[in-house]
Amino acid sequence: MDFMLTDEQKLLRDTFREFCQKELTREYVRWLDENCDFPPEDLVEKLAALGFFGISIPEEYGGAGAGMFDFCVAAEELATSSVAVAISMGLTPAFGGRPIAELGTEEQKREHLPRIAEGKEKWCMALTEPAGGTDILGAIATTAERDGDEYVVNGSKMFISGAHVADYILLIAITDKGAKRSRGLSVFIVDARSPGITVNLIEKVGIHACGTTEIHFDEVRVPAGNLLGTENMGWYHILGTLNPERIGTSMLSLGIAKAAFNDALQYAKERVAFGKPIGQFQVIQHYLADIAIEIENARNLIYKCAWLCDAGERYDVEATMAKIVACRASEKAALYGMEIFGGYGFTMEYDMQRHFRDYKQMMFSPISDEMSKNYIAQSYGLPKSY
Amino acid sequence: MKMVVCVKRVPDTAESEVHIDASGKDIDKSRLSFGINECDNYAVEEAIQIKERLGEGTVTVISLGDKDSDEVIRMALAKGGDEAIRLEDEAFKGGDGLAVAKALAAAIKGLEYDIVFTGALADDDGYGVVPAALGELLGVPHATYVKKVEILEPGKRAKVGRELEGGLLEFLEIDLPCVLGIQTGINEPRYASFKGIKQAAKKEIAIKSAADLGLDASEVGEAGSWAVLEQFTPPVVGEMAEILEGEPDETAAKLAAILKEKGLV
Repeated sequence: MDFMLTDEQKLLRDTFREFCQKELTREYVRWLDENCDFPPEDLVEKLAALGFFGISIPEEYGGAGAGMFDFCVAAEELATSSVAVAISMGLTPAFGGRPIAELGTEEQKREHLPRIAEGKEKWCMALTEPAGGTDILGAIATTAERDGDEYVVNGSKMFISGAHVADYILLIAITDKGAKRSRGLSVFIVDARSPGITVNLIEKVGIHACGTTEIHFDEVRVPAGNLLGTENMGWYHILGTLNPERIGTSMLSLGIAKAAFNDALQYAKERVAFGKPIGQFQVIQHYLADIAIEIENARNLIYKCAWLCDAGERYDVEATMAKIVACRASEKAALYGMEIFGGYGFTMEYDMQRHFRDYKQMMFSPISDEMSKNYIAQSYGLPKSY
Repeated sequence: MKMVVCVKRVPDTAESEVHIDASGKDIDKSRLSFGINECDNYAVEEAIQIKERLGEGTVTVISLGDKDSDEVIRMALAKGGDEAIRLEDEAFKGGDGLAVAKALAAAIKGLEYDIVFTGALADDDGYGVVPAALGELLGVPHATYVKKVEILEPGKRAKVGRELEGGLLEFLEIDLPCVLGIQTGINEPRYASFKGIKQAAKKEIAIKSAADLGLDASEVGEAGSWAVLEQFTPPVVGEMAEILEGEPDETAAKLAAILKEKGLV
């Protein structure tokens, strides 16, 4: 076992750390939260120049050909500075880069991967529907019916991050109504500007700078060549996207936890009560120690998953565990952080209120703790409980 | 044009508490993060930008330090540096600016070069000696606190702007080869790209000892220094210093009264 980063990974971390210190300042991140539903284009361009979008794209398609571990090293820095930036910028690598690299035809790869690596395409994934996110298969009603050289899509998708700015939608729809649902879904590359698509932003409590939307598909015609992978095998294809997504979302929670911890630690050192900094009081120290322990746990588990992923091993159960552990860390950091800040935590003057608003989204997105535990228990041979 | 950039790995003390270690001759670095000296980062960028503007040239990165210095060397390579040399020897330890310049000069003498870039000042010891000493030891013109570089004739002449008090720029023409001590703010240092980082990881860093450079141990390090570090001490509160105590509004009022009394406001 080796817990050390390679020299290359250290440079990657240092580069993203420096980038975050200079570009994602506290003031800028606050401005994003108060004014934006997606980070502005100049930030996208700067991250593209760093090679962020191409980290996991194979070298022959313009990427760096690195793995999940390296992606995590970069994403950890972004998520700690701004979870909204990390999630919004992570959408395209997760829902464009990876699925196309794994499932795409040569033509699809040549068309999209170099552009994704250059930051010139934005992607989102349309899976969840209004009827349910936990009962994901049971809730899917969107259909894609074959009509000559095209599919015709009808239906609605719910809680889709970044569709309002996306160029392409990775769509999951029913292509065989008669089959068992897990054997009747397909994945499509849909041009987000196709006629018949309506996208509406949903107002929400946190992670403002990565807008969440609903999408309506009304007789949307998708060329048959835009099918990704094999028809009706979409559920199995998409699992290959959902597992890495789970590592990514764990990293987002870890980022919130670290940001809240850092703010709380700094405040504990500065705020004076009863004649001394509150960080000298045992109860505050224990709060901070508790958060620190959970952060360390989450971090180790996330990187283990990334390592398993790169080694080609199964990691679905570990990634589901990581999701829970990281969410708990962010919850503890935000709740204790609020306690440490006292009344100031509840004001808009400090950033603790943002961490407190932001962590909540990650508690159920993309999967709830309860459903995660169902999967984990099932993996130990217990019967399916849902 | 062939360019050489000297870089130094320094602790980041800007936002950390600094404590003197048990020896009294250094600070406790165990919990500090390290990175490239700030001026040196601008020097690396300037060399790379000149190479890009001219469409030709090489940038060789040199650092004196142990293996940990590889990280700042590799970062410079990732941004566009071509080759790298690291000077490592027990004999180099404890050297002042002059001793460091002797080792660097010995390494640079063996290279073809048109411009040697250094940072104007090191963030840790702040001597600001290396660029001038290096120029003298190499026997070439030098300028420091350089905030503008224009190549008039590649390999022959350059125009450089030196930053003086109040941001005033003093322009001078300088013959190449030369040594330029670069000031912060001369350019906007780029971030390394991930592709650059991957390529940098494959590049070789040549390691040179004092003997490799033809230097005797007595010429470098502490033995070859004119100034030898005695000890660090924290600043003492002097008689002229007055620490204001109390709530912020009280201390602000006291401060305002003092400033008024002394006719400063």
